[in-house]
Amino acid sequence: MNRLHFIADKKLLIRQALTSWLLLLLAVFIFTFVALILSTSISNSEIVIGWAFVAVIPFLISGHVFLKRNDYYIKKPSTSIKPNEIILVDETQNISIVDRPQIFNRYFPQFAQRVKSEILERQLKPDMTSLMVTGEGRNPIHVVIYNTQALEIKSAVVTDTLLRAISGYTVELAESIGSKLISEVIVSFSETVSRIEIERTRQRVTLNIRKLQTITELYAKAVTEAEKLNVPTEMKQELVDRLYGQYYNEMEKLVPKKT
Amino acid sequence: MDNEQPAKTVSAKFFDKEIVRLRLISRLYRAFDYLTIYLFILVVYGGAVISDYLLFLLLWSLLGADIKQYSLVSIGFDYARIGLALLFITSAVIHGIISTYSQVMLDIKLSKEGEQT
Repeated sequence: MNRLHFIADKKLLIRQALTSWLLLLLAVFIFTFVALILSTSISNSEIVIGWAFVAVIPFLISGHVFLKRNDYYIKKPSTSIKPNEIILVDETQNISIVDRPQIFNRYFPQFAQRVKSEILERQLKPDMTSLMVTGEGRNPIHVVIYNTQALEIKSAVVTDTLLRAISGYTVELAESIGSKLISEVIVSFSETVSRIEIERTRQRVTLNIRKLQTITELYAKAVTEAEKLNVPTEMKQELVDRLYGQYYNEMEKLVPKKT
Repeated sequence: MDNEQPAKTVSAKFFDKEIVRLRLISRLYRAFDYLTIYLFILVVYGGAVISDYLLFLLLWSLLGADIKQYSLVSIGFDYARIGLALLFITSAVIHGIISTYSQVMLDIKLSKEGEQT
C-alpha cells in the first residue's frame, strides 16, 4: 500500500484532512458574514447568496493553493530545506558556504571566519561550486561533486574538513528534512572526477572516490532506514549519531595514514 | 555456440515478460493513486459536511428558542447551512483539481526520472 504516493505519508494525509475541514468551515463563516451584510441592503435572498458565493470563491481557491504549496502546513516548519545549499571549494582551495552558515560553523569551525571574509572580498559566485547539496519536498537529496580542479586538495586539514562536510551534510540533511520527505539520498560524482588527490605531509596519496561514494550511499540508506523506525526520537537520534560515527571512521580509512 | 543462442532468446523473452509485468503493475498503482485522491475527497469532505451540519444542528437545538428572537441571527443560521452545502461541493472540486494536477505533475516528473515502479 505504501507504493501509493497519496497515502505514503500518513502525517501529510492527516494534515490535509484537517486543513481542508478548517478551510471549509472558515469559508462557511465568511459566506454567512458576507450574506448577512448583503441582506441588509438586498431584499432578494437568492441574489444575496449568489454574491456571497462569488465573494468566497477567491478565498477558497487561494486557500487551497496556499495549503498545497505549503505542503498542507498552516505555518511551514523551519526545518524545511531550501533547494540550493552550497559548499564552495574554488580553484584556490578556499572553502566557503552559501545559505546555511550555521551548519558551516558546525562542520567547518576552523574555516568559518576565513571563508566569510573570502566571500566578501572575492565575491565568490555559486557557479564555482564543487560540492552542491540539493533537496526539496519528496525529491531525492543529491550530493554532487564536480570540477576536478577544485578537488586537487593539498592540505590534510582541508581534506579532513571536506570529508567531515560531506558526512556532516548528509546527516544534517537527513535529519532536517525528515524521513517522510526523503525518497532517497544520492551521492554522485561527475564523470570526470574519479579520485581526489591529496597531498598529506609531502606524500601524495589518492582517495578512491568510488569507495567514498559507496560508503556514503550505504550510510545514507542506513540513516533513511533508521529514520523510519517506530522508536522515540531520542533513540533515533542516538542511532543516527552512531551511524555518523561509523560512517566517519569508514571515511577516515579511505585516507591513507602517514607512514 | 549454437547451443547458446536458444538460451539467450529464452532469457530475453523472460526479461521482456518481466518488464511488461512490472510496467503493468506500475500503471495499476498510478491508477490507484488517482482513485485514492477522489476517495479521500469523498471521505474527508463528506465527513466535514456531516460534522459541520451536526454542529449547526446542535447549536440550533440548544439555542434555537433564543435565536428565533433575533431575526438576523436566525437568517445567519440559514445562510450558514446553505453556504455549507454550496461550498462543500465547490471546495471538494477545487481540492480535486489541485490534487489531480499535482499528481499528474508528479507522474511526469517520475517518468522523466525513469521511475518504473
